Amino acid sequence: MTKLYVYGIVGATSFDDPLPNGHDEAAVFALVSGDLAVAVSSLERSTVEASAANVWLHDNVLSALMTRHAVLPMRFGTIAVGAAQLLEGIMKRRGQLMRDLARLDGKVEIALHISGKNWEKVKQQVAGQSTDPAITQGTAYLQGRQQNLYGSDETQLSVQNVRRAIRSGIDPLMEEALWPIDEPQALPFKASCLVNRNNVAGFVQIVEDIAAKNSDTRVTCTGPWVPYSFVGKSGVGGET
Amino acid sequence: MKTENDSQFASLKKILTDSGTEGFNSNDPSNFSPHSSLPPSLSTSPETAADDLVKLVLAVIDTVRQVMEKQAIRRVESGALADAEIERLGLTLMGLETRMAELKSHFGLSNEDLNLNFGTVQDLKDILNDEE
Amino acid sequence: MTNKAQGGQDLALADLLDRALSTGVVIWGEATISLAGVDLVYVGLKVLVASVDAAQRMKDASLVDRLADSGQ
Repeated sequence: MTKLYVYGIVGATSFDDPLPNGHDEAAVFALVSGDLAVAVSSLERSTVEASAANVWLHDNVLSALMTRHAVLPMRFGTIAVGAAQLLEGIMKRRGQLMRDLARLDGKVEIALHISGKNWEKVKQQVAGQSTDPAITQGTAYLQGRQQNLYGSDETQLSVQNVRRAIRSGIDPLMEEALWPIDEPQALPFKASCLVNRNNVAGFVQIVEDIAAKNSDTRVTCTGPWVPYSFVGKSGVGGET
Repeated sequence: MKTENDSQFASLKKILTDSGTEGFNSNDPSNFSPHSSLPPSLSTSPETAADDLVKLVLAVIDTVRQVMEKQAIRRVESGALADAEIERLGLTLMGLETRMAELKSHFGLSNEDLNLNFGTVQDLKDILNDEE
Repeated sequence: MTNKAQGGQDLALADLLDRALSTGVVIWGEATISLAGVDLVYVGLKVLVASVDAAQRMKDASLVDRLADSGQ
């Protein structure tokens, strides 16, 4: 029996628009059950290597579907033994899937990064440079590595300020966010934002304006992504 | 089959804004190069295949080593380790770093040569523990 | 491509890998054969030390030295 590579769950019963081909140039089609469908393509192989090219391919199919329908992405590399078994597995989770589809319809994910511009250049302080005689070699090494991970106090402060400014700016446009607020912040700061697709341009503009005023940090947004991080999980909580 | 070129264009489309880049113009063809997500020194000619294999092996080991260091730091911060354990962990990692430096130097590899940029590698058990 | 542009592009790939490999709907059981990305390995410190040992042996082995020399 041919296997199926599974891209995602779609809140529709047909895919009218042409979709990019899936793995091994196989056509992507819908397996329908009731009011939802699974986007799949036929696969001869039993495994798909987690390479950059393959993961982009997976995302490509999902991005194309996302322009027209509500989509819940599958984790990369999900391969089903057959249509019947796959649909059975999907139907068991139908309730949660329908809720997620409704919640995520029309929304996209934007990934936000903030880091100090020179944080990559923070020198590692290796054992021997520690002036505290009570700290022995191995411990001093780890301290040095920690410094590299978190950057200087100065960098922490800059990143924190930019983070808060951006958060209050984008809050009105954001549906949900996965937003770490622990101090000190491991760099780079990374957050996932769930945004209505119509608000993406406005979101990016706000971030750019704030970034322009803070030249000692590097601020990057990537996306719009299918809402990978928000499947089955809602992100709430604000800055303290 | 998808080529590396396609992957590279796909990733360019996903950058919404980046205050770290200056003057990058996506319309300038000289900004594109094939295989740009691979280490620049990775070639495909048979004469250097053994060298490339060594580079790849070392790159993977070094990436994992750095991930292990981050995990170790988090463990230390969590307060779960005794002083002696912290010291031992630090010495082991320090030793690994020294040996990696020697190996890189022996094979004439810089940190840039080994920079594969895989992104984060998540623990297997975290993946398996995710709710379905 | 400039280093900075390369960095931005690598960020997009890193963001994708962070998400596609560890988030999204998971169906595990009779329906599936495999879940790639699980192949991204969890390596304990002991295994890491063994890997570095092995690389050290590679360095010492005369065969590898000969190949390394011929590559210059």
